[in-house]
Amino acid sequence: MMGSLLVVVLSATVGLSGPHRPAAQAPDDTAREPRGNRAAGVFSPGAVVAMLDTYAIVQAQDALQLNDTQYAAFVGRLKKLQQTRRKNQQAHNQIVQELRRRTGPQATPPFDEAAIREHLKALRELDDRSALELRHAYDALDEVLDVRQQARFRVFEEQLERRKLDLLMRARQGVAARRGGGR
Amino acid sequence: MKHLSRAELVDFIEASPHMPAARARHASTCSECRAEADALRSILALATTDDVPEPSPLFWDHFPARVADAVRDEVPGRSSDAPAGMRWLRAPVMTWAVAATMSLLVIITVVWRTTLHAPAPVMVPATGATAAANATGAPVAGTAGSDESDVDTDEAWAVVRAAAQDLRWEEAHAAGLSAPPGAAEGLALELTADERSELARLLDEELKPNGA
Repeated sequence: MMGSLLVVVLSATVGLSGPHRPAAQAPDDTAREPRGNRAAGVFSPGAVVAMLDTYAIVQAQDALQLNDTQYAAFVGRLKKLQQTRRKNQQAHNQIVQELRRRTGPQATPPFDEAAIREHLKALRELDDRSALELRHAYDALDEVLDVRQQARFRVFEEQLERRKLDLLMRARQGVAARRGGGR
Repeated sequence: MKHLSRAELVDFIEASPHMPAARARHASTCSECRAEADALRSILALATTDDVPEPSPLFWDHFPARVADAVRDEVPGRSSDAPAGMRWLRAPVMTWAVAATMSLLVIITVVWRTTLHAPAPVMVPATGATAAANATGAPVAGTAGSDESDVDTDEAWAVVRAAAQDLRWEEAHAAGLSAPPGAAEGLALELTADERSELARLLDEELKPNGA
């Protein structure tokens, strides 16, 4: 079980599901799935992302022992952090995809080196900007938390990712088992 | 009017801006929904104030290292009994972690070099769905996801999978392998519709109060 989870982590870390994907993010307008669809068991990728966000909030409240005053501010700032990360990752993916299109195996000479340089510059600038925005988002969150909670939040983020990956793996295995049983 | 669903009740007690006004009005006027919401609020309040002592979050991170230290202190008397060629089997966790990392790096290099010289993939003309996805940034099964559909059948990746099968999480973590925030989300977007429904069911179970 743990080994399988590690393979999922490796997929994410090595990049099999990573930056070269053209769009690993759901657009914001799909983040709220119509209730009717939820009831019918139809979940768009955006709805799943929204559920993961909710899961993160519930788990964070539990892990950080937030009081009522902290909770209201924390939720808004955690959402901001999630949105910042998502938006920048999406922009990063798009530039990498463009670089891949221009320099990948299917690209044919002559290569437009000026355009490639432009995209590399854009990627560097985006990554710098993303780091700054993320830093600001973390600073805003830290303002709500005491120092122990700040530390716990860093640990929590990693543990949460592990829990999410575990759920993802169980979801895949559950469906695969049903398919195997149905044959 | 229909009573509030569980998700709507959560939105209601969180005063979510996504809660339709009509549903919020219903929650305010319907005694049954109000009772549900009050109960949910009480549970949340209890959960917030409940001061159950728990070990430091770092406890479990450091636990394997402490166990490894304790084992290392105990082993010397016995390890001398082992044949010289087998002593490496008793090496501490870090040695194993480094060895695992080195093995992974070699495998990844081999996979990379293999794919570098692999024939270029056949480009499928974009359909309406892929064009729409490119415009919105949403993933489309069978295009962006085609790589991971190959993962299940990729022999080289199967080697990585086999190598990682017996690797402990703590060992991988000590060797510097961990999932960055957002990694799970990227993978979640690549699930099939069935898998998304299953994930939603699992998340729903996890979000049920008191694990009920």
